[in-house]
Amino acid sequence: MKRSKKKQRQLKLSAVETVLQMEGLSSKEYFHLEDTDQGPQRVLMDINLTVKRSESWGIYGRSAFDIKLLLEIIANIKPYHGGRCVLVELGMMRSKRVILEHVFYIGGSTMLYNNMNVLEYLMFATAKQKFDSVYRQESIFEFLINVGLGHISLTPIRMLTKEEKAVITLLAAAYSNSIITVFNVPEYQFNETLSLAIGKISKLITKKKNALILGTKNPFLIENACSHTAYITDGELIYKGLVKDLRLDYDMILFIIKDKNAADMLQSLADRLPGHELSIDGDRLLISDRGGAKSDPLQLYETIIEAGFAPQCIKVNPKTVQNAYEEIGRLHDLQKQLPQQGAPAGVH
Amino acid sequence: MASGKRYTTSEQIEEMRREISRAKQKSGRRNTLNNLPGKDIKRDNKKNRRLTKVIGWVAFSITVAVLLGTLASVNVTKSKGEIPAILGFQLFMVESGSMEPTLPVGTVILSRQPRDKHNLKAKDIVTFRSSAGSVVTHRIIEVLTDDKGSVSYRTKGDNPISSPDLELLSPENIIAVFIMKIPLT
Repeated sequence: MKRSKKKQRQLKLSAVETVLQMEGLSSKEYFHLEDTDQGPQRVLMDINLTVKRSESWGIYGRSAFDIKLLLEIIANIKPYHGGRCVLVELGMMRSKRVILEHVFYIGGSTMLYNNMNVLEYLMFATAKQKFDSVYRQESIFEFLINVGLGHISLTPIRMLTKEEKAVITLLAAAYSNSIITVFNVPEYQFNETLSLAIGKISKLITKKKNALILGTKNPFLIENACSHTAYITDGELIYKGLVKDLRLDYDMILFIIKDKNAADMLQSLADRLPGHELSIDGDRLLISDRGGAKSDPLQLYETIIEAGFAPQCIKVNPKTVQNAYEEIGRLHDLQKQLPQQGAPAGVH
Repeated sequence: MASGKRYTTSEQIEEMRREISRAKQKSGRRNTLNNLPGKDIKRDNKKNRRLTKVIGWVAFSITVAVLLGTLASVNVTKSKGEIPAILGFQLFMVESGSMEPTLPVGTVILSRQPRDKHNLKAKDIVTFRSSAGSVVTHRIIEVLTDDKGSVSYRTKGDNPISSPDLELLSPENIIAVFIMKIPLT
């Protein structure tokens, strides 16, 4: 009878499409702003977010604390003040804190056993799956190599960095049957190898029709690992949607010119390129679209030559999440500075 | 691949691959694991689970049937005034002190029906029906064979105060041969 109930519940869960629904959620935590006349301000206000199966969400923000708190509320670890939060069609009580069985929460790097090596730990984590152990071992070992983690595949866990440990925990989550994996370590600095590995593990999770929600301050990680993203700042989600749309809609940089005379070039080209905005980033001149400018590299090259410059390198900007989020952040700051003067439309 | 002591080297990886390959050859099983968790494996596991379930039910049904059959058989035998036996084994309770200290009063003993009643040896403990009709458990102290070759046994209780039984025991009257005491009885 008990078993049949469990089966029924599993069947019910497998049919659930929306795994997370947040409506008007606000946190219990406050910021005390000493240098303003405003009173205490909630860390999170009016958060609306919907996550479906097979989606991987990257929650980006300027403050790791905001991101961490939001993901802790999502995982049902911290209570919330107002609004509604539904996790796999289960309403979460505001005061009762327990990590549900279908949620795999990773909030640090202490979940692993230091006396095992990586492969041993993953074999241990998947031991309940009653596959032939030799083939299971081979599959896990080859997967570790394929995702670029071969160099730590047989390394004792006690010798790994906290970032490497977190990625191995994420892999254990991918092998589990959890419907949602919450990867809440925004304070960690993942290098390129680990970011690419997270991207491949994310694909494994979404392939199994499960969802991944990761918090990060690293736009490269979002680009690699996420299908969707949300930007949290000042307690609000100022963007949420597809990563693809974000890059196309908000990365305004058309060309990147690398030259030691970038500053001189800026002065000279400003008048010759109407509808563009020029800015300097080190020895790079960034040319952005500001109102229907054409993005023809040949035309640009001719204009630069006409101005009497021969740049070392001209690159068409591949549209990155980092540029897009910088643009969104800039627009948001502008909006904040002009509260009384009919601020520009929001960027949601 | 990064180098350094804490990292796994290419040699270690190749050695691990060889080890897995050897283990695969040893197990000699079909490789059905392409992706973990793979659909084929899931199907195989489901089949195995179903088979285990069926075997479990069959074993349970057989056990219940045997128990019910035994219960019925015991009751029928008792109603006929005979001593019930299960697969040739019988339980008796010692009611007198004639076999002390080997078998104290109240001990339950497990005995079995002898294969050949004419071929028992001295020192065997046997349970038999006496000429008075009572069931007695005593030890054979002597095997006697007459001129015609027919066998009879002299029996005695182990209690030092007991004397050898007056009647010689005929093999036909033997019910069972002692195997063991049931512990904690």
